[in-house]
Amino acid sequence: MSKTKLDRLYLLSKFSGLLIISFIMYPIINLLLTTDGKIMLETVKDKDVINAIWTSFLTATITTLTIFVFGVPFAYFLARNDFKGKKIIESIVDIPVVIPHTVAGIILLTVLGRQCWLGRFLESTGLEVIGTRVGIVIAMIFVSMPLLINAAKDAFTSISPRLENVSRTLGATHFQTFFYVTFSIGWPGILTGMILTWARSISEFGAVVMITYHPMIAPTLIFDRFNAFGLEYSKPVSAILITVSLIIFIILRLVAQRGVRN
Amino acid sequence: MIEIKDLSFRLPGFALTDISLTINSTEFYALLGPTGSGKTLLLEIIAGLKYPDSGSILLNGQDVTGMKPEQRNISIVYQDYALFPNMSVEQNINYGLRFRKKHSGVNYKSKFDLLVEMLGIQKLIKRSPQNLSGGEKQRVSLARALIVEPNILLLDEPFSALDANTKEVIQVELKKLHNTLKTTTLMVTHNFSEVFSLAEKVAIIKSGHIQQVGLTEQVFKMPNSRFVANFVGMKNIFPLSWENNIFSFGNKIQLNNDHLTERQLTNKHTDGTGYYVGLRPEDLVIGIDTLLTDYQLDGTISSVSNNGIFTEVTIEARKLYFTAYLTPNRYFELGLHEDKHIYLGFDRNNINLLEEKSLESTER
Repeated sequence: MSKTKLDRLYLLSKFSGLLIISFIMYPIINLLLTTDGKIMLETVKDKDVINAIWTSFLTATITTLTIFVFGVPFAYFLARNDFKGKKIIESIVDIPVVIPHTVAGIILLTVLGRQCWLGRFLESTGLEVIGTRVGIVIAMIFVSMPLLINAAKDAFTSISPRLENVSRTLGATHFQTFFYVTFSIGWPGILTGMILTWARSISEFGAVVMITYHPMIAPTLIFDRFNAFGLEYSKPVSAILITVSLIIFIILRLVAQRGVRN
Repeated sequence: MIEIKDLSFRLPGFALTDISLTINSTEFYALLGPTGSGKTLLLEIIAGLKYPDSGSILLNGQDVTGMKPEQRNISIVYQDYALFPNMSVEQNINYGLRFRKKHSGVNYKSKFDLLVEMLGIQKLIKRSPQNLSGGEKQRVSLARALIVEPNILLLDEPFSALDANTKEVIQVELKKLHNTLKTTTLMVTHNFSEVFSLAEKVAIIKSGHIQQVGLTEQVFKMPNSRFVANFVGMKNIFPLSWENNIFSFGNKIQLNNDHLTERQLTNKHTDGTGYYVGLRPEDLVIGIDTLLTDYQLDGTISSVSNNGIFTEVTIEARKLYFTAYLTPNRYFELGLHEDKHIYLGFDRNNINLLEEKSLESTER
């Protein structure tokens, strides 16, 4: 009796999974298969396309590394301390996830533009944000940051503070303990967070386009081609972006999994 | 030697209050108390992982109260072993050496070999901690803690996660290690039998207060309160009353004043209120005929349980329930069974008068 029920449940779960995978994969495969080969060949050689993809990868990588430098210590602080207002701080970290990304772009434009003291100050130091790669990175950091911070926080939380205690009593300083024990054990989780952050940054469009249209990142170029030339000319850029991103994503995932196994 | 003087530490809803202990060099000292009494907290304060609100900790005469844990050279072994999962057994054991300049070359290698051999973990050193049994993990964590030659070794409930057989083996190994290395050791536990088999001295802690300190044998024989008596296995504890200059308990079980020592009959005891009589289960004598003990009661066996090593017999006598331990042989010899009428006796030197001071927390 219970076995039949379990089997039905199993089949239902399997069917749900199949639907979800098809929902994700069918449009992607369809796009790759229906892209015109001739246009595709032209697109691969197109300097604008190459530049846009390069800009996307470069800014996403800088974004991920920047969040890593500032976000990982902050995640450690959140994982190891309980204090009044912690929930509020954690909610603030999650805000970029819940607001529309175009709104995020507007918010950033408001403070980074000339109408705000911060924008004027940055301009006076010679640091141009609007319409530059710096602007792209800032927009990407804003929307992607919660992914890495939360992944690192979860990784650190899962490590018993007793491991750190033992390390300290064995003669390691707090920094050495963090390096040899906490960070080392939490690295697979942090790496997963970095991969997601990088992938999220590559796919970012709404926030970036508000701050920097030129130089274009790949999603902006796709949008631009779609507006100017229609679907047929935006598809090849999309196909290239998907292919390159997927290859890098899969490689990074494999590396992370190997780290977990080790 | 470690001296803890008037140490206090407050947490919301809990406080360690005025803790004072002295642990001499090479001593094996135990801190015994129930769950939530502040034992592990005290260990972490000694290790420097938490700082006390007041009081001081002296290590070989030097005040280390404000010192960081890495400067104290105090090792800790937790009940869950806390082995580093990202390192092999060998790397775990050698972890502390990379931070200690004095350990190098031959010295370190021989220390490593000695510990690994003493603990019988030679075959495990290339393995990952995830693939070890509880007993093996315990041995590795002990080797890791001892290789740095700590001023004091702190053991936090070291046997609580082990099965009975492994626990017995590790206890013997620990005793052997202590006898060989002479490392000053402080073990916290809630199990008196562990204290009995390992520690020379014991401090009993309850709700953040030290209740009694002394040689293990002394605390076992002369618990100073009902709480301590309970903890050291004195199962028969009954309230005493004082009328017409006579102590009595249960239904007119009168104690002869001549049988009580001067200590037991100090002025503060003589009103009888708030005092208890304590009798160890192993001190009670059971017979089917009258007995030659100083005190004798007749009663009925109400329940029997056997744990394989001894038989626990509960006897109802004079409206009280007494617990007595017998060897299984003796139990069968007497032909005992539930509802059987028997005689129960005890001698004057088995009577313990216990104070009320810790009563409130024993009602669990």
